[in-house]
Amino acid sequence: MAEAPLLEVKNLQVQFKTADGVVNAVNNVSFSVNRGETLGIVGESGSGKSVTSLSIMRLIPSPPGKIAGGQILFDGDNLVDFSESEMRKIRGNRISMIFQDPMTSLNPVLRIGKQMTESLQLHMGMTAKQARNRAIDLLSMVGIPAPDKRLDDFPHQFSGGMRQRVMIAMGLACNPELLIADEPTTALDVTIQAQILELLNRLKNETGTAIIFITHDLGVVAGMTDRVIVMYAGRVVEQASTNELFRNPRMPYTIGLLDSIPRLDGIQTRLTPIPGLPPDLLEKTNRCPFAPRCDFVQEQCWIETPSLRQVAPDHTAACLFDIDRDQRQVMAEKKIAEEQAVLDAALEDVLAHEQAS
Amino acid sequence: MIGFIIRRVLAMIPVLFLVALITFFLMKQAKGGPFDQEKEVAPSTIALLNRKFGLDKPAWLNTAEFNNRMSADGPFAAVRGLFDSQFGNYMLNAVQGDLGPTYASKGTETVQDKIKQTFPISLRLGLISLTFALVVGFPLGILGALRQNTIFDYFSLIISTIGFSVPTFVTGLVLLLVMSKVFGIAPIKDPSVWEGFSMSYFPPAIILGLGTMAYITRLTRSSVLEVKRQDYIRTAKAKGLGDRVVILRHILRNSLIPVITILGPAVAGLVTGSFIIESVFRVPGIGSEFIGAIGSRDYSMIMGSTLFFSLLVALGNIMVDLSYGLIDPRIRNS
Repeated sequence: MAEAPLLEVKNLQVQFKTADGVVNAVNNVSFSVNRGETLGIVGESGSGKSVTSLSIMRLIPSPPGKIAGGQILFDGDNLVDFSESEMRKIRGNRISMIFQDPMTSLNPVLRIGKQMTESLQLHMGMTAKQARNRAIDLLSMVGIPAPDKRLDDFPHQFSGGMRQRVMIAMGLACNPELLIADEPTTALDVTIQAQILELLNRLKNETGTAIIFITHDLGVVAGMTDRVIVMYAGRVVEQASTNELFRNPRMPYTIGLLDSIPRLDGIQTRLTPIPGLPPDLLEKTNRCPFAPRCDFVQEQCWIETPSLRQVAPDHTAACLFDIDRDQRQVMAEKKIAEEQAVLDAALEDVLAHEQAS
Repeated sequence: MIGFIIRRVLAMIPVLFLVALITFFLMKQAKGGPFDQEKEVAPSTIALLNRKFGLDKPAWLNTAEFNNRMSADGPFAAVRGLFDSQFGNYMLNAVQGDLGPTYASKGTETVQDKIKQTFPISLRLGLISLTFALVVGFPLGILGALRQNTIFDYFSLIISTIGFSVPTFVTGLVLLLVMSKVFGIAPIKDPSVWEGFSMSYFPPAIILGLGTMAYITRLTRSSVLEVKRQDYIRTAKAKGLGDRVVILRHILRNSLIPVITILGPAVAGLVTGSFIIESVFRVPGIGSEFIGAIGSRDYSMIMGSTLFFSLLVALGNIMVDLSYGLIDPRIRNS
């Protein structure tokens, strides 16, 4: 029997109370992360991926947000039941987090050294001197030159990429078992992105920390993660190993995401964007949340919400039908042909009308 | 740093000159003169007094004297002659530290004596009310923000709304009434209580500080609320820091920045004393002196106190700019 997973999220429900009603930001989300594993969570803005990760840290702003149901089992303990003080012993210590925008995620009025050592002193019981030495080691580990001098600098004296390195160093300070990286490269320019990803990959191998890597960029996922879950409208819609997901996507949304990124392997295909917008999470419907934007949509999709089902070994997807990527082209062509037929008919009508008069 | 201070101090010179120019212009627009009395004074006496204080000279430029000296003593003396006017002579004396005699004393007392005598009283009053405004306003604002939309927040809102909206002459009179009717300790008639610190300063200081206190409360509240939402506060929480550390180390210092901004003008405003409060509580400070001077067209006193107030405001603003650097390292380095 396999080792118990480090983190197991079961049927997580997160709601936000707003003036317009209750928003179900996360709906019945389940997934697990093994020790040392890197899990990718992919989805567009508002799909619930950040809310999921903040829920694990129990950092959902409350009110208006609240964990309405489900379990978050971390090393066997249900974090949902933890008190605030028990949670504080976990945060920054056993689970830590890196945020999206390094420009705003560091306190502008405190020296980097202070911001790095405060969690070391808190969780590892280090003296100021020990913490400072550890901070120097951490900074050189993430590739910041002259770390002993840089500790006395303020955040505004670092570039964006350097700040994200500092954030990563801070995240790894107490040797966490799980590191949640919430779009760590989104705010950086492309060359810096590559450097940061490379750094994370290296540190992952060196430290053996499990990582939840949240992103909307499938290209980033491909090089970083062992397994991927795809989220849409607060639900997990597909889950598979990274290889399997890229080779054999089974949920129309994932297919759409894959078709909307350029390929670098020489095959020239048209990029196809996914039409429409993500659904309003306020509405309660029984239909598939992706139906209005789906190329494969069938009648059944409008009356039944699909749940995750096994579509291949260790691969689940939330789609009522067995579809695959090759069908998309066929479906798309069929759709275009149908539209063309309607146009042709209209044109013939007009012509016939003109001839008659 | 030193360069910054020098630059800022030099920049005060044109400001003060402009203030003097405008004040002098406005003063001259007002009807009446310093020697008008209720009963008729002989024109010859007025002429004599005007002559004594140099008020017989033209207000701005003395062209007659310029022409005179141009022909007699040459261009250099002529330029001096051109500025042998009320404004010219005043400014020449002022840069040498002589703000002129007060007309009210018929020339026995100078304006700088009067300021030296009355300003310490206003300064004490202002410092006490500033301390009150900060000590009450800052915590009240923090409390309101941290316990947003609770009874504490509403309490802080009510206090600051009262402080904001009720004019000081109302709160001042109410306090005065309560003190005299209920406790029988007001008004204070003995002028010696104002020498050195005494309890007598507290009632006027609190009334004077109410508005500033209210402002600081609201500003602190919105500033703390703003900082609370920042990403770096989430980072701090994600490190597992307790609420106390997050508030004291991460929130408070960042939320001080906008509060500091209003402190400069507030310090100057409070220290130069509220004209109304000093009159209501009969505090013999520079504010009540200034009001008196306007009524009696005491030109040199008006000019002198206006310049003095301007100097204080300008200095206050320099202090604020310097204190930014202490709090916000981003400003320190640029």
